[in-house]
Amino acid sequence: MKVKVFFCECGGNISENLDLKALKKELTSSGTEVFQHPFLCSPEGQAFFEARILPGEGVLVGACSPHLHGSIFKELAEKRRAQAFHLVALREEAAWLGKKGAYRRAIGLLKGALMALSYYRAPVLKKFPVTEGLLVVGGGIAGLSAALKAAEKGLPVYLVEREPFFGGKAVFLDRLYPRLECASCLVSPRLSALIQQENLHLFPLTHILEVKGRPGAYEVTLEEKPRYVDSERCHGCGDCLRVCPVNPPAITMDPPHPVPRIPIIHAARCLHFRGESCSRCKEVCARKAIRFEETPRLHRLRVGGIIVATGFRPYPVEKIPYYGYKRLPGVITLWDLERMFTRQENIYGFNGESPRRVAVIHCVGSRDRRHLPYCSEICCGLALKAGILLRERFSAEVYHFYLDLRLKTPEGEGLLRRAKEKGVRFIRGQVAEISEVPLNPEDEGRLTLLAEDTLGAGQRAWAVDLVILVPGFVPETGSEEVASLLRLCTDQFGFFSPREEKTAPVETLRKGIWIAGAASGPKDLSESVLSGEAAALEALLFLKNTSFRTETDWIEWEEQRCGRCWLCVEVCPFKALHIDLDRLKVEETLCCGCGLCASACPSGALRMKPFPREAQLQSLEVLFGET
Amino acid sequence: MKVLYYPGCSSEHLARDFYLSIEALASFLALELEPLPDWNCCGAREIEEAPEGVGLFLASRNLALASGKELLVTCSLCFHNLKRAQNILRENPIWRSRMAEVLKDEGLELSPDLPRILSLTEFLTRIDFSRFRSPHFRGFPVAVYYGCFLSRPYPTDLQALEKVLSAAGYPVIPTTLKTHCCGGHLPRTDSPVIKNLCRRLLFEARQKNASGLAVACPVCKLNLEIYGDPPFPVRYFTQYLGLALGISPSWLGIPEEE
Repeated sequence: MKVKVFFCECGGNISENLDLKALKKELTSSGTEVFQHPFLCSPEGQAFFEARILPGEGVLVGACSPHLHGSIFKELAEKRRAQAFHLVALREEAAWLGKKGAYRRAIGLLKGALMALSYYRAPVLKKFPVTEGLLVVGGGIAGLSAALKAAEKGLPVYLVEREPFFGGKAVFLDRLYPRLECASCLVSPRLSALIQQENLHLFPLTHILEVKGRPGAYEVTLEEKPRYVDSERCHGCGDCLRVCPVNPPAITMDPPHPVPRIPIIHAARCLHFRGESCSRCKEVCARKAIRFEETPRLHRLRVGGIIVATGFRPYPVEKIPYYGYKRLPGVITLWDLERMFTRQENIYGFNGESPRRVAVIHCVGSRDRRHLPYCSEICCGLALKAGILLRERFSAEVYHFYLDLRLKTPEGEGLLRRAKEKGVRFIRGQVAEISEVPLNPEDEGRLTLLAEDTLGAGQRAWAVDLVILVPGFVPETGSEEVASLLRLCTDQFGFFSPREEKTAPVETLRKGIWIAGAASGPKDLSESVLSGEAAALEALLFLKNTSFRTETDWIEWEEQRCGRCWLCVEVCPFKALHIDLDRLKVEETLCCGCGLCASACPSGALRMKPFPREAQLQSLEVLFGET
Repeated sequence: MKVLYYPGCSSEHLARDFYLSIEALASFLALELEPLPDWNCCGAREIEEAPEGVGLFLASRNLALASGKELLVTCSLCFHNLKRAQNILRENPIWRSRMAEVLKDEGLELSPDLPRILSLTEFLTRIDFSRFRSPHFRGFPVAVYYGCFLSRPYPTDLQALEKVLSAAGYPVIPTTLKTHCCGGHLPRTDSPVIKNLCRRLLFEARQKNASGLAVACPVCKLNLEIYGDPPFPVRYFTQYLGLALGISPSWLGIPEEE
């Protein structure tokens, strides 16, 4: 097979550090034809590339990383019916590492690749059918936006939520940033739409037990925990809520706009489940909807794709002892405050009276090596909003302690101006300590707050009545389980990683699984809706086709050689291998030909078909022989 | 239980009562506390004035003597110095080889297996004090105070004092300022800062109706006694433990007249 080599100069990125002329000379001397172009990815470059390939030839491209333009060159080569294709990342692996040694690295890589190409056998393109259904994990605002859009277009959608009610964290917000509009007025119509949508099947109180199958045909097992209230019979009158003798009540319908409008009995608190003979809620229910005998139910679904929208949660502030959360009265988080606002509860300070002076502390745990080494971006706006509301409701003195203010959208700046006009004060610096021990005896009965004022250049102390801690965000509990069930990649903080942050933000490395909302990083309401709908679009594009094509036939298994250690099954990050009656089975749609299993196999029983072990070894020999 | 133990210089003078109470506790609980043979000063604070490396040498010598074993350290400052020296020896190969060279002249070897340093507070949590409590003892509310060197930069268990004292029968009062600074070595500079620091620490204990403050560090106790205005009972936590076990106050270094 004749092999043609194409170099891309990448506008100097490659050619400035790497002597392409010398490379060309070296390769031509051994009989290989070499072409060079300033921008091989440009339309002109692509035409140049396409025109020079003849059917049956091998193609080697020396350009940037295969993640960037690899698929373009590959498709062009296939279009011209090239027999073999390979790409060497000359830019990342040779040129960008510095002028020194660039040539040595490049020639080794290229010769190794040429050696490997002589063994190359193209993978086989295969077609797989797609089931229409869509599973959405998480019933917060992102999940339900995705579910609504997909259902509207006619897809059967299964919306799974761990909590008894849908709506996630958005239903417990009082006002929204930056216009201070009523949150439930915006969120509740979407929630109501959930029930009306015909193609949408709701699974509250449910978690995923198992996910099997392949993209386009997943088999999912769900477990629905008992609610002890019959959803067919209950019409949500709420009579039962009033008769429960336990405090806090064992039967609740917590959110201000509950969807579904069916109460739940908390077995841990309910007297009936603790061996007493209470059945007041059952007696008062006119529809006879209370079912103490209910047990967990299993559901089995067949879906084509999965949207993960597990969301985030505020950082557990009690981990930072010097803020005194859960230890000192009058120290609450922003999320406690929002809940109090939505339930219209009274808010008291340290001494049990209405607060006269409030401190709002930004960046609690954020941008801190010991806690969250990142900025959560949306909390500054939330904090500012809370400060204004506290100023308006209690006409209290409000102090914001901030590190930097990050206010999104043009209206964010307007909100800051509005806060300043109302007399909210801003102090730039970190809070060192909150305690009930005063510095001056006359401040007894108030909280003492020590902080650095970096603009006033000094350490100062304040006596305050109420402290609002504004924590950063971490992934929701249980997202690790979802990640391991679906084998999704997460970043170092546990947020799901998209395939490409900027250009493919809702896709994952796994086909048929998408991410939406704050599961991939802190997001505010509008961004969550946006990414939910984007994920729905991706899901529609994939599921509305009856089939998809993918490259298969990467791996060959030699039964005689295999020692049955199944290291390959353990090592596969895509769950593409499984054992079937002592035989290894490869799930073709999941296998992407990474070759990890072949390199892990101690007896050499697995063979990477396009680049077998001999090719890899020989190319390594060439690579290290040159150096 | 046999334990290697580093008493530190303060046990000889400033914290004689701390030393006595530890010895009394050990004999009551049948702990074989074996002082580290031929131990020397950990370097304390004063050594910062000396040429670089002298302080590290003093601490390293103790570490070399105890290598491979558990070393119980009673004084907070000694704990800090030994921990710090251990960290330097682990992470800085240059200092490590220099120290190994100097120690070789003395016939000591700096083995790679450095001792495991234990603070007294953490060590005592291994003992279940509720089993040894005297039947005649009636607990009274005490507040606890750790000070700087048990909490940073090498944090120990900051619930240890609460655990042992409440097991011994004292109602322990949780305090906010338990890891705050007492002023340390500021008295030598005659700074007004220290008065405010100590006053605030004792204010909290008094405000929460504690009958005494349990401390773990000789310098903290000294400062709180000198600058406590009005005076407030401050004792080592080992003295409180000894009282709960029914040991006579004079054995614990508590003067008769109190």
